[in-house]
Amino acid sequence: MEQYLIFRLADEYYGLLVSFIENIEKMMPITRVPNTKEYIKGVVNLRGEIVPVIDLREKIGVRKEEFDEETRILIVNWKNEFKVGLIIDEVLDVVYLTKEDFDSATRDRNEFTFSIAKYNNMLINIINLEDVLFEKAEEV
Amino acid sequence: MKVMDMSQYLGMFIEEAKDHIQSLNDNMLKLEENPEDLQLINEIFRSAHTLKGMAGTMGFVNMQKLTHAMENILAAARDGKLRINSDIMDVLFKTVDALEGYLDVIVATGTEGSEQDISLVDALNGILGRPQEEIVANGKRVNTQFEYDEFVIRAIERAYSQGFNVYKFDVELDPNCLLKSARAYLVFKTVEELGEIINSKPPVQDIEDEKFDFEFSITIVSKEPLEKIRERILSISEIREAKGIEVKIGDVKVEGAQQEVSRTEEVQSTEAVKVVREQKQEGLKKTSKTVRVDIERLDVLMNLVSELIIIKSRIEEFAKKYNDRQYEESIEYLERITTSLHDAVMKVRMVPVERVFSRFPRMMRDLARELGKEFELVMSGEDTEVDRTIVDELGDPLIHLLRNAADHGIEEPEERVKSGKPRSGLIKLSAYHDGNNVVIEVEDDGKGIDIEKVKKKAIEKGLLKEDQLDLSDQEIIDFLFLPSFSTKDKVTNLSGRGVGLDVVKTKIEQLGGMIEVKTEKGKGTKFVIRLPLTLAIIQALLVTVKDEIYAIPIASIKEIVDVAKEDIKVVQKGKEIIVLRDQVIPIKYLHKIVGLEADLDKKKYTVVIVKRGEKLTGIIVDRLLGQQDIVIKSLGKYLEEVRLVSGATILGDGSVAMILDPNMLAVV
Repeated sequence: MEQYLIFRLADEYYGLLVSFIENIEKMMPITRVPNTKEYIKGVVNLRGEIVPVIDLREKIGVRKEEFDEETRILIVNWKNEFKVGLIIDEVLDVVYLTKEDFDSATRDRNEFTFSIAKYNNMLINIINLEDVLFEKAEEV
Repeated sequence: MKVMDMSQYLGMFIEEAKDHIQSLNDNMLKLEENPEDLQLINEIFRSAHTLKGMAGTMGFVNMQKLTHAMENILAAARDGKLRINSDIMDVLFKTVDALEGYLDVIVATGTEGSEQDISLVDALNGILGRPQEEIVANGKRVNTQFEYDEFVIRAIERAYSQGFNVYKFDVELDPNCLLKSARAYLVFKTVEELGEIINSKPPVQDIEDEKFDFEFSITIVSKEPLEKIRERILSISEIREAKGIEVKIGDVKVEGAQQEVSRTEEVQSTEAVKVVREQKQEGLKKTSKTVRVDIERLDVLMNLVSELIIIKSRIEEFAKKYNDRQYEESIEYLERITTSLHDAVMKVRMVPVERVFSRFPRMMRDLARELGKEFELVMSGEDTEVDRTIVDELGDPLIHLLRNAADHGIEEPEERVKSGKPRSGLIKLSAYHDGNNVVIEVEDDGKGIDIEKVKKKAIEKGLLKEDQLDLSDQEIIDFLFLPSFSTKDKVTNLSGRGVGLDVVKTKIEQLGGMIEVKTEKGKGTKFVIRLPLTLAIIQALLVTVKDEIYAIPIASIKEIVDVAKEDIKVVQKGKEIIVLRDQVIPIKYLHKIVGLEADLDKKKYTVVIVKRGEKLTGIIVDRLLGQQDIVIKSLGKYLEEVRLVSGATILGDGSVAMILDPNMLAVV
């Protein structure tokens, strides 16, 4: 049984292992980094630390909404090697998911594979962080 | 018995072992020049001895064996039983290499590995021509030397000056003796009736605690004859033997290598003795008081100072609004303190380039032998200080350039003689400060770079078209820095292994520096590396394009000019240039470089002229915001492939600005 953060991208629900998440920030000024991929929005000043920010909606390919009061940046820590911020539309909940909650099905969208969990009648796409952070599909 | 956990000492062992191996290398190189220098032999002996002890403590048996065998050779040389020749030096150098090898394995794995270098131990023992046990035994017999610490030696000297005799007794108890310490106590008591005990081995405390086998030795000062004292000792029951020897001042020496060091320290502290001992001290490295600090702790300190500087700039901006004199004065004071603090922290991080230079003499010596060439390495400015992070990265590029100089630069001896040069080549490695930069030069007096050959090769590789022959020599030489460009026909295992100058260049540029080549055919080649003193804080010019702020390192800016639109000329292929004091300078819009739309309808443009070596490039910006100390922060591993920016900085208002890499500005 592990803890997941459940959040919303457009009208879909996503989950990410809580252990990856260092903190959750409100939207803050982002400085563009020239000559980078479109979904890399730039960097933010996270209390003196420079952290790159990815628009998760663009990266995964869901409809992009305007930033609003609920927009958050999830600061994730990749194996203590680096931190990256992920822009999401809304944080919903932190829940424990058991094996039984997971559906046997998986779902593909572009190059990303999600495992599916059901919780309170919601379908939750569990994100594989490695897929999101590294350009697996583009190298092929 | 409880097995001690040594892992916490491992780091300390590695650091110190490195130091000792380095000093072994240094001193052995000197010894090669002066094989008779006893002082040097002693130094080397001491390093080997300390290493042996350290390795033994840590349980590194192979290292211990090797240093032991090495120690034997040096002991023999010291005692005049062995003359150091070049064959012996070779074996000794190999031994040090092997020690270094062991240490590398230890660094990587924490153990010294199972691989043993028996052949080296044999080779070392072979030099002495007889089994080592014999040597050791021999040594003992010949040297009736007595080892004491400084105080005891003084006591002995005093005793003689007052007409006393000094004896040393090795007392052996009966193996069946039960109360050893009681017996020993009786011996002490008896002897003290006849004289004064000035030293015992093991120390009295250990003897009282029965921390000895069945033997102990005491040194006494007495007016009584030796034989009388001996009889008295033997009269105590359960004493098996008491061997007495008279201790002569000439036979006395200071205990072990460790003691020797502490002795020099003691000498430094007492002024009066200093004068007398000065000569002995000569040649010994001065031990200054130092603390070893984990570099990560320094980084934390550095970060804090950086934060302080950021907040200081922020407060400065507020201060401008208030226009209050007292407020301004306090801020000025804060400014001075932060600047000094910054300097102080930077100084802590600075280490002399000697750290990397010191291994080169040894490397070049081996190289000369390997290549069958003759050359001398002359180093200067080893004490030039650079940020530790830079120094640590300098090793590989410099090794490459030195090898290049030896392999490609310096000619074969006969060839040199033919062209009227001295038979032995000269490779100069020098470091010096130049403003906010540190300059390192690798210079050889060899044949120089063959421009024609480079040109031919460039055409061969398709880098240059046959008709593009109007390039300047300097531009042609720049081809050398392109990946896998080697002009040497003969591939040696030294340079020309596909790892070319491009790697050197990349490394130097990563460090925020640059590299230039100056060459003259038949006269030699000079590589000039220019590096920033520190990687953490630089002076930068803040500029804007549209609503974005960028920082350009001041060190790379030559000047800033305003240019009228009509002075921007378009030359071939749409390239734009300006002419400044008869010099043609290509210009670029920063807007385009960073992927924005450029405003082409202005009457006047602000052009920042950046230099990259000799090359100038004009960069058009919208507005200049001013000059500022900025703290360089890395973009992190996730964005490490972004080439155009070398990092980011946090401005006074908390926003982030990208720092442009001047090396890339000229290229993109």
